[in-house]
Amino acid sequence: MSRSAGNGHNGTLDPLIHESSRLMIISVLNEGPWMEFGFVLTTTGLTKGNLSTHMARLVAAGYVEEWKEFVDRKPRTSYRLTRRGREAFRHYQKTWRQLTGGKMR
Amino acid sequence: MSDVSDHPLDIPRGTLAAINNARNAAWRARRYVEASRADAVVGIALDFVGLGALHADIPWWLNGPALLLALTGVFLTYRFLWRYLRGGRPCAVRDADKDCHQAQPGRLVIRFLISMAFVISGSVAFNVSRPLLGDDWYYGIMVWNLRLCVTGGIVFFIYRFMRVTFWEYLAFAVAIAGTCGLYVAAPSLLRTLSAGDKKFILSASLVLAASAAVSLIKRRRRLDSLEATEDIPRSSNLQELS
Repeated sequence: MSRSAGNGHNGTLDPLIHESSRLMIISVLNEGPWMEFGFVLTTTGLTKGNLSTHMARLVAAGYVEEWKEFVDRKPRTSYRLTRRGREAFRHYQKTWRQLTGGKMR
Repeated sequence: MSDVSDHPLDIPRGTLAAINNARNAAWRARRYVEASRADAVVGIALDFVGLGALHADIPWWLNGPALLLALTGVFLTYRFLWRYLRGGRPCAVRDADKDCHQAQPGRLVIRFLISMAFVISGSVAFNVSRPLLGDDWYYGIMVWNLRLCVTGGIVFFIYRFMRVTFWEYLAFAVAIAGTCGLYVAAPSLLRTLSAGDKKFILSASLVLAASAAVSLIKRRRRLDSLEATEDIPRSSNLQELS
């Protein structure tokens, strides 16, 4: 990126979102309420380990909420963006538009 | 090849590619989420078209199909609502002892009941106040309310079509315009049509709505293969989403 990436404030891009895999994950989660791990995996095309790592970072940052359950004795994990995550993503989109003069989506 | 793109701001190619990948992934997710609501959307559309046709000056041989569409619409809408309320929400990580299979409709049921109570009380209040309103106002409000609903339905489907480009949504908008639209919202236009034209428009709208409904339900079933019952996807075939 030609402009500096900071903490998401003062016209800088949030570095937590401004990473290709996490940007893809957040873009997908932004489209609906709860999404299952498997669905996010196939939609983003990431590997299982890669997705788990990025999800853990997003959950730790409070951008994503995680729910776990067992269906037919098999684990099923679902995710959704928290209000904070949605606001951060909106801010990211706004900043991106300001920096490039183009639309992100 | 340079890492910097031709973009005026010298944005690295990787960043542009990441933005593009994110956009594509979001587009696929949006279409999937939209298709997962097919039952409810088809139900609403069939209700509009079926009930609109039944209230019109319909030929006797179209009564059966129109009634069937309307009833199918009611069935699909309530089935979606039933499943949605029964589904509850997944258990939290921190609530490991909770029975995850137990439905936890909670606030959803309360919201649904409040909405129903609001609709029913509004309807009762409207009918009770008829002597106060007078016939002109009473029927005026009723007619304009119907026109507003029909226009809202058409706008809703055109908006959804623009969001996800499912042709079925455009078909629903056209079918609603051809039934409710002509017979409720634009009766003046109706008077300019011949009896043959009216029958053609009505029957074509019913066929169009039924075809779109079948197609949208099939679309949802194809996408169902993407849903995972565990943390491993069953299929990596995303062609349907593109």
